Amino acid sequence: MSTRKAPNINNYFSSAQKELQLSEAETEIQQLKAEIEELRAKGSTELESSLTTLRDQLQSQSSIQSIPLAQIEPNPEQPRQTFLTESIDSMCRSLKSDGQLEPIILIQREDLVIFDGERRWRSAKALGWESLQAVVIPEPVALHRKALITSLHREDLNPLDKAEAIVRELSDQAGLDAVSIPRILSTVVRRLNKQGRMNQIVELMTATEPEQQESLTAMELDEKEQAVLALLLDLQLNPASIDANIFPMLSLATDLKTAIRTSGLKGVHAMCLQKLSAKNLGKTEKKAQSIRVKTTQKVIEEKLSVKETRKLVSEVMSSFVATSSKPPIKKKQVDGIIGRVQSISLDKIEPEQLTQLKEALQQKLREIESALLE
Amino acid sequence: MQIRLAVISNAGGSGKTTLSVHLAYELGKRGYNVALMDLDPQGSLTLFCGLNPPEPEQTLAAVLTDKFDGNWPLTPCWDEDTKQVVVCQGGMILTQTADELVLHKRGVYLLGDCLTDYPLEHDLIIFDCPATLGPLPLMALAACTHLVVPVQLEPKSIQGAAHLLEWYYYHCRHLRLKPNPEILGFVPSQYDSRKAVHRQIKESLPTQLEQMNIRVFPAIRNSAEFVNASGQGLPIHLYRKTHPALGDFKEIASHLANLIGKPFKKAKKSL
Repeated sequence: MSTRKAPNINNYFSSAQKELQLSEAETEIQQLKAEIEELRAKGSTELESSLTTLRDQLQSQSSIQSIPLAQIEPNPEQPRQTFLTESIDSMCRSLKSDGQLEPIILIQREDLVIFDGERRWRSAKALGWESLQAVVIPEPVALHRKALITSLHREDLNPLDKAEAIVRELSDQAGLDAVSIPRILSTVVRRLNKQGRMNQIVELMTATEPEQQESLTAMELDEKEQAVLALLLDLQLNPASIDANIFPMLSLATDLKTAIRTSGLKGVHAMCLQKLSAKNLGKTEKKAQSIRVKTTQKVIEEKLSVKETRKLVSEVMSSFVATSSKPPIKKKQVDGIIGRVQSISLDKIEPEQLTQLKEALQQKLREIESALLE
Repeated sequence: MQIRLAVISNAGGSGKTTLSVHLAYELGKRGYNVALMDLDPQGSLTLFCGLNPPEPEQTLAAVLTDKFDGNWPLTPCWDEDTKQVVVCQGGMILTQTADELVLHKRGVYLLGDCLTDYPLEHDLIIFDCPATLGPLPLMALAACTHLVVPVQLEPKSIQGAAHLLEWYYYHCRHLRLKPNPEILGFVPSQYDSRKAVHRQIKESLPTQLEQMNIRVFPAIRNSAEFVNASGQGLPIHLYRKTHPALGDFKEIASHLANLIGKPFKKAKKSL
């Protein structure tokens, strides 16, 4: 008798387990809320007094003022460069129904620059408001780093904004040319991978800063490479993953960058769509862009998965490559061929092979002559 | 402490009424006062307890109206053997109640409200629910302190029970029950050790449920005598006094007895 297969009842309970997890999460939220209430009620005197001090300080130094929107400038160092319409819309609704709940925070420079509250500022402009409640503070040190650290580890920062923010931070801190940073990183990652030493770097992520410095110095890297790796590790970022997943965003076509910022296109999808380049399609830049934009729209509208996007991209590619013949060989390439033929040193070749070469060239010559006659 | 136990399963024939009746009898024999409530329009409890079909005014449907004055229609059963068990019967009229519940302002909370406004002094109240996840079991969920899920050891029944758990977690959140009723556990029923599928599922079910902190009680065996006893309106204890299946209820009955604590002695006061 063959052994009978037991029914697998594991799958049956997966949804129920998800519901349970939801319930547990909710209970936890309730408990935390209760704890917060309790702490507040206790009046935990220490916190209360420091809050009062802070409030007093703010009152005296920079009380809440009404600032005309026209005087407010967005922060060019804001790591979040993406503000989706939906998120502005929802803020608009909130401002409209509840008014402005918290003052925005501005930094006193030549203009008043937003430190916190860009979404509210954009929404207020959209609503046609004249001014916003704001607190003005003096310039904090290393503003970008603070803003970066607060948003870098948040999931909602898209990889493109993340890439730009990291490059800006690295170039500020190490005094490197922003454009060269991705290249420096990719060179050192490739080399360390080849040497099998990349793991040592990744392991350093959890080490202390002095340990990181010591290990990096011991690896005898180029000065710039060491600086880039040290700063990434200091930001608790995995250099290998930044090189593979984040920095490639910087070389995306402009239309794809726009799609990430305005339509919520995901980084991985953008990388797939990037394959639809003028070179791969054998089209002009302009034509390739229009193909890409159309395909991108489809990906976003139909919410395609990465796998589906890859499939679509290869379908689009084969449809265009099939209709257009192979791209014509450029003049430069022909020059190269001529140069190579002319520079063959005959004295280094065995007689037998010389005969073969002669036959091949004669054959080609006949083809050229008949091509010229046409 | 009074325990209000909802016996819920969305699969038919999973042994809800059998479990309700036998738990009532076991706890009654241990000296606890037990009220059985039939939320099932089929009125299976009437059959299993050997009672006469009730008039509509003598059913749970009469309780679940705004006119209810606290006079619970409770009928004693097996009273030659025990004075401890009473039944609030169900019947077809409950289908109408189910429809009306949907529109009632306190709909799902109605049974709980009745028990708050006109409390019963029984140590254990058992809600025998119909085989759906409709408004009547939902009302039992909102009124109970614990629930128990009888389940056949067959894929369809297990899958149904998994959906029941989803239903339970979802509604506990949405009805904002405070505290949430507790799942006492699963009770495998009609276990036939000769069937491979029964043995296999009996083996693997506890592992699955353990992850969700749900206990599995010992299985109730399959026996034709359960069917025969129900036909006579008796628990198997009274029908075949030495049947081995009697022992299958011991663990869950003891568990309930522990939860309740000492029997609540009814104060003998004249009404």
